[in-house]
Amino acid sequence: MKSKHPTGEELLRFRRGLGGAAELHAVEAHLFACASCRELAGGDVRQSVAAMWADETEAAENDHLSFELMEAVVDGRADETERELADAHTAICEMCTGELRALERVRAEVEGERRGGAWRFVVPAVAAAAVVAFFLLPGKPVVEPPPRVAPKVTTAPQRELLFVDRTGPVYRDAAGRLIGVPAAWEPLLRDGLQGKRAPAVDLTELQGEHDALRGAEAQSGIELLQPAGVIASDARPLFTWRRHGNDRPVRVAVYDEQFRLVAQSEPLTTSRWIPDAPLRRGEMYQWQLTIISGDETIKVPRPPVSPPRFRVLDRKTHDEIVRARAEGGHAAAFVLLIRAGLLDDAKRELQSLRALNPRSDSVDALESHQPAPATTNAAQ
Amino acid sequence: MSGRNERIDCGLEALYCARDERELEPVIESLLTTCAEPVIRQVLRVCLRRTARLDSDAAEDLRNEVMLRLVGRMRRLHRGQGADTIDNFASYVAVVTYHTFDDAMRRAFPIRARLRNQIRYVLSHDRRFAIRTVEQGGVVGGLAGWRDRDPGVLPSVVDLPVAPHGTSVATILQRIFVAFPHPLALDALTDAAEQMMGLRPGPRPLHEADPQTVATHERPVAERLDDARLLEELWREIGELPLRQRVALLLNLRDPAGESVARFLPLLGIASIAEVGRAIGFSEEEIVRLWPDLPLDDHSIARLLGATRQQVINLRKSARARLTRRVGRNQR
Repeated sequence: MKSKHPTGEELLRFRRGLGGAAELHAVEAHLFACASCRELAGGDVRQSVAAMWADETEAAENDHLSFELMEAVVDGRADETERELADAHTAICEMCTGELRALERVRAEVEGERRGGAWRFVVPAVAAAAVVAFFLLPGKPVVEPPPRVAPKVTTAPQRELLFVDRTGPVYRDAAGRLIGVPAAWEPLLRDGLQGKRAPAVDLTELQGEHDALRGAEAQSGIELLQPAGVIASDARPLFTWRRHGNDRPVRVAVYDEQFRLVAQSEPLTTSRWIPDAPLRRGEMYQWQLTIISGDETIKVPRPPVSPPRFRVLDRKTHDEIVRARAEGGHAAAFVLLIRAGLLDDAKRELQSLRALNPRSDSVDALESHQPAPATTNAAQ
Repeated sequence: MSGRNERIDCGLEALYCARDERELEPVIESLLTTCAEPVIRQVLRVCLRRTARLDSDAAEDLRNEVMLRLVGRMRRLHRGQGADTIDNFASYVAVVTYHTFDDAMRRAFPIRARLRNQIRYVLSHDRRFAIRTVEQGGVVGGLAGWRDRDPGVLPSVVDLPVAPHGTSVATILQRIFVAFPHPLALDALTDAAEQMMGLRPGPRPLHEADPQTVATHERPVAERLDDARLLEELWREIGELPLRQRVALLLNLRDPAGESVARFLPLLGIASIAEVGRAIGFSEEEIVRLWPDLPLDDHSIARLLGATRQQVINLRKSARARLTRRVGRNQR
């Protein structure tokens, strides 16, 4: 079909899905081989797709979860598609995530009170039995009358509201202790709020001459971007590169410290790639692109420039950050991320905390909590 | 039906009948100015009366936001993509306005929104309490034995003690009802509970971009992403979605002119018809048979999936949300 271009009418029919199986297949085969016909038939489509996607994104962001749907999810009454919708939306919407978590907490309270409520019926029954025994049984009463106790007056402890996190309000008591933060992270967060420097994160082993010689790399028409010289929190990090007029297919190869191949992409015409399988956590990696041009292959970076290196965040720290995010909220996650050297992730947690507390001095104080020496982590 | 409603519904018919963008534009404009705007103003007046937290500038921001949402929804309706069916345009505009107001309040006062939901949940799930709706869609809550008692009004200056940290919402409600022995509006209960819990963080401005939506941390994806690569990227990410979501999305997805986006894939050499079919679990013969009928409406997709129309809508919303996150992530 490559030799014989379809007519304008055939292309139009193809675009409308018409013409029957044989014609669809023939035109399709030609389009896959002929860039000029693709341009002719679908050149205007790209902008339509961009407009469509802008609409879809807007719709996705405005479709917040209703109270009724969240209530159904929390009560376990939601069907599979409703649960899936709640999962998908909360993945992009912190507001609904916070509301759903708050409902889960209050459901636990209601359940707790309901279970505790049963004792309200048991205790009077025991008391009644004791009274009956007192009158019916000879000798000493088996139950002493309860001592008279003055009504307990509780006064709220002196405390200062610092900010409200997704897990609830965080206060500071008169002794400077934080209330509302799990004990495991309380000392770290206290240090953070006092503006103390976090311990240094040594990234020197990840930094080579890569950055310095990036200009030379660009001569090949492709510039490697990320991950380079950073700790990646995701075990399937996003690899990115910039093309300077070089549209040839490339293959990404990821090597471990001993330069053993651990992951490899198919030939790609894009500028991004995410490995199919996760890389081992805690390990250091380096990566390289191979430009495929007919029988010739060109490596980027070329020796003597060494490939960019990165480390995947170790399992223990990763799990602790995940737990901190779920149980301790943005503030706890922020201090752990800072200590792990994941500055961009930390910044995002702080942004979320600030969204909840737009005028909080404590959030300002937390912002000044940074690692001691200048370390960089541009992309995670 | 009143004369006004007849006029409005005729306008809607014009929306469905518009053949292209040129015909659609004036129809939307006319619907917005003659029908939607008076309803929006009236609903916002009622909403703003219920809260002292928003000023008159906020009303203008909200009006603009409702207008924007309506334009988007009318376009989707015109393309047959709307999740909603509209019998009465005025009611539809009122609902969109109420939702926009609620969303704005949730964005501006996130802590309060959570507390309000918690109170609503406790009132309807804890047997010691009761909740009922009153005139104009308002909700009041009180003790279970107060079903016949008239709702009260919370004084403008309330003196309630701060509750110790960790006090349950139910206990806080009990204390409020001891101090004010009448059913109270949900918003008034939330005000009182906020005071008892010592929660009074300031609002975020209504017009501020919503930083809580992960995908909006930076400029819109369509702007960031090279147009040529967008569909390629979307196709790759659609492949990562669960099968039912892929079906609900791909078979319905259409561009602003109503053309099937699935059919663009072979047109741009991104995926063949057979590959599109495989992605949604169809044989080559099946997808070729279906191909001229794309995009399909929700009822047809529901029949294919053995699901309800609402489930198809939910599947597509899920797919959209996942794609927004993933495509956004790859482009940040």
